[in-house]
Amino acid sequence: MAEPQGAVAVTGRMQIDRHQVGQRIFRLTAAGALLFELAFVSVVLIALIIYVDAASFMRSITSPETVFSIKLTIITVTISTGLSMLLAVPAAYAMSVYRGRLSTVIDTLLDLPIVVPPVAAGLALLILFGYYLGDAMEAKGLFLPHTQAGIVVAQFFATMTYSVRSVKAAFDSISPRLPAVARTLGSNPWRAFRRVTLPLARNGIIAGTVLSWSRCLGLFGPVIMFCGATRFKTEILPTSIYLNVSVGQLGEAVTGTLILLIFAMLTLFVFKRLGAPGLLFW
Amino acid sequence: MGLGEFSLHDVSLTVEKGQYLCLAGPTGAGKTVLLECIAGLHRPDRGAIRLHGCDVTWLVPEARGIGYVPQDYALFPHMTVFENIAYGLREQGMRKEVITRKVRDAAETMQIGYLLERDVLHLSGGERQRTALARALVLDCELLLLDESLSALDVVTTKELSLQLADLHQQLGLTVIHVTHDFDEAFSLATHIGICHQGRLLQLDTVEEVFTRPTCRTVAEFVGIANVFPRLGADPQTCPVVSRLYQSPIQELAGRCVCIRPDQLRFSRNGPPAAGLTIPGTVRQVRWLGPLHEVVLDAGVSMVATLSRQEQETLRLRPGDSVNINVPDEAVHVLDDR
Repeated sequence: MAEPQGAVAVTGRMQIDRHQVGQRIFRLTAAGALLFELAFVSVVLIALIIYVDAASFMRSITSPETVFSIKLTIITVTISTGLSMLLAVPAAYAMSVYRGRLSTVIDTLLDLPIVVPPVAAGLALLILFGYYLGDAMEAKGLFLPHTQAGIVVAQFFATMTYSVRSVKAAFDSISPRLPAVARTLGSNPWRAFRRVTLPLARNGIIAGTVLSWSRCLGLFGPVIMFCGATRFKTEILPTSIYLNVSVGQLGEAVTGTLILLIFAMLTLFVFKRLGAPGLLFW
Repeated sequence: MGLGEFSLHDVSLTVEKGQYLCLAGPTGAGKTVLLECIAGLHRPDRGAIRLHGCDVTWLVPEARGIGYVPQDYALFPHMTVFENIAYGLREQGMRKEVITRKVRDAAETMQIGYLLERDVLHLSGGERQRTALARALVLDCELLLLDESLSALDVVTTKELSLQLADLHQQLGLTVIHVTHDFDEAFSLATHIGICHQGRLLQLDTVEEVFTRPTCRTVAEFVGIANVFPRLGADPQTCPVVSRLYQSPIQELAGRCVCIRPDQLRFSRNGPPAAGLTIPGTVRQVRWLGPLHEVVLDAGVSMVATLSRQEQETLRLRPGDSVNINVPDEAVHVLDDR
């Protein structure tokens, strides 16, 4: 066969094995790390699951204490998530739209609850609502430390940053031209927000709600510091696990853990179905 | 007005009812900001914007009644084509049957009647453009603002939509301000052209006037006049040919520049033609530009001429050929060097 002529000639078969070997090693290393992590998570979960038999799991889950902690957990988590999202939507919108000198300061302040150790956050709440505002609030009939209302406050404080971050990411992804065009079509700022911006941020808001809900669900440090761990009073699922481990009732503790795991898996499933970018496999 | 690091300086323009004004200029010239000021999306620091004599400088965009189609069309992605077109009508609180009728009429005018139930994310560029136009036109606005509306489309669709825009302008008696960086697009659509550069409006006039009598170097370059010879006053020795062309004392050209229209240069191979100034030159390159040929010449300075296909067939210019370049008086313009 005649050799092709010209400055650049490409023939059908080329030897690229040398490059492929390097690529294969790179891929195997990455896949190996992923497999190790998957195996580690699975083994830990399996160890938990096989620790309790079905009969004792059913007995524990129907015990008055577990039922109380499940109820209290769901109620407080739902209220704190609701409050958190109610404030997160306007706050995130303001952060997304505002580009000024104070942007970095506001951003950093809002991120503080993420980086502050959970116990320190609980202590800070205790000092504010106990030491400084305690007497004044008690006089008004609203004392927060060591109460169920306090659990909501602790959960709200720990989760509000996550809510704002999720919703802000959704607002950031919306072109500012869309509400601007809505204005030229006759919408006032509120209507443009309600008819254009808000529906487009819907998935981000729902994902933020789910993320905040799951974050509140497992919150322990700030709650135990601010509200203590009193059975049948401030006993949410994480504190219930702590109380049961501290008195050697490992079966009940594992049951509580499994319930939390089921809730967490459900929320993660919903979260991923709603399409948080970068977290999806499908 | 200032927007971040960008500013518009002393821009004054008046657009008469029924005019099709194209604001042309390179990217970053301030065309879009000017358009957004008129739409009410930015407020100028100084000056005033008037619609039919009424000051609307401080009026919110929703109260101006101006149709606006941005560069990316900004169709609402969570709505269908129908819902997008109906958006403004719903904001006006119209009855459902009126909205349906008006939306269908607008869609038929823009030839997208078959797309009404379609998701806007699945439209082609031309369909998106037509939807955005229908959404603006359905509100019966008298002033339509178009921001680079044809720039992202392929050549065939651009041509088709240009014709449709020209038809709509005539049929509806619309006043249009159309921002573009494409002079050909401006030329084919506009009755008037404004040339913007670095936040300033350099020239605003009829298409013919801007094309034949640009007021400054930037405008001349933008309308495709390739032979621009700036800063003659600074060093007269660098452009002896141009000083001959203009035949003026070189000092009078200080702060100004000479430009020669490439389409008005004439050539001969043997001896000078009857009238006008003639200088000798050598052909360096001949490029085929479809209906025209571009000839790059060395006449002491580098010059460009354009020839029609017939002219080139007669002359058969090739690189290296020696020619006499005839410059008629009307081909030479003295412009502000800015």
